[in-house]
Amino acid sequence: MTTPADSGSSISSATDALNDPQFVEDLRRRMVRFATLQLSDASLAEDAVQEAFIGALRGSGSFAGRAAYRSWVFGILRHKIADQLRTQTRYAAAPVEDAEPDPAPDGLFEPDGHWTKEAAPADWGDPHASLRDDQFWRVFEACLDHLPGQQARVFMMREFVELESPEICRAVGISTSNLNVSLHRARLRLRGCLEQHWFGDEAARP
Amino acid sequence: MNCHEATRTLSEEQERSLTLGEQVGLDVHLAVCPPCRSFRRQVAFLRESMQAYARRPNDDRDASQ
Repeated sequence: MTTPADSGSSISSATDALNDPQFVEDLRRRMVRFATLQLSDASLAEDAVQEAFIGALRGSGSFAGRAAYRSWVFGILRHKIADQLRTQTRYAAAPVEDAEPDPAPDGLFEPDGHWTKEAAPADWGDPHASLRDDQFWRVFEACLDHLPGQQARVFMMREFVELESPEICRAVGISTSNLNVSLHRARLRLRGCLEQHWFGDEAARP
Repeated sequence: MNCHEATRTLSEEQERSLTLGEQVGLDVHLAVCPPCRSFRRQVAFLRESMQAYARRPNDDRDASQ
């Protein structure tokens, strides 16, 4: 409940959010899952999440409500993970390039390398209106959650934590070509998932 | 260049500048392949939506109270 006296106060909004144990626990669990995937180390992940919550308490963030609080604390975690990954260089230099074969993912391409009829990308028109649709973001998040481990890890490092490719290769200890294969597959899979569940003719959009 | 190679090149285009040879091969393929042209727009949209996702101010309905 918000009274006229405290409406618009970021302190009371933050307190409201933090006074809901279910909200905090769900948020914490999601953050730990993300941090563990990124850092590959459960205790480093717990520490990073803890520090993000403390940082959010210390900060003078102006958030109106839970969603804004969640976005604020996740943003702090994102920066902590970026810092941690930049220092945790697993290898002095990226591994030597390995010319490993890159077979086409099953079902997407014909043996000659052309799209199968089912998988060929459709025209999404202008997809930007979806960015303002809450339902779209639920589908988007579900599609991200369905990326397999290594693809999810490096794709999120690249596009969410926003590390550069060489930083990811050093942090994860993979070659540039390995990274490119994983990013390529993640993009194929994510766009396929969005088309199937949101943009395509068959998608069950409201 | 086939579609599998074109999508790989389009994905790498997000990571680095393509060589002239890659660019020419890609342009030739895209000129005749609408699905790969869609893929190129979609890969760019993925990057935009990930940036929006990371900075999204709200995603649920508690602002209504």
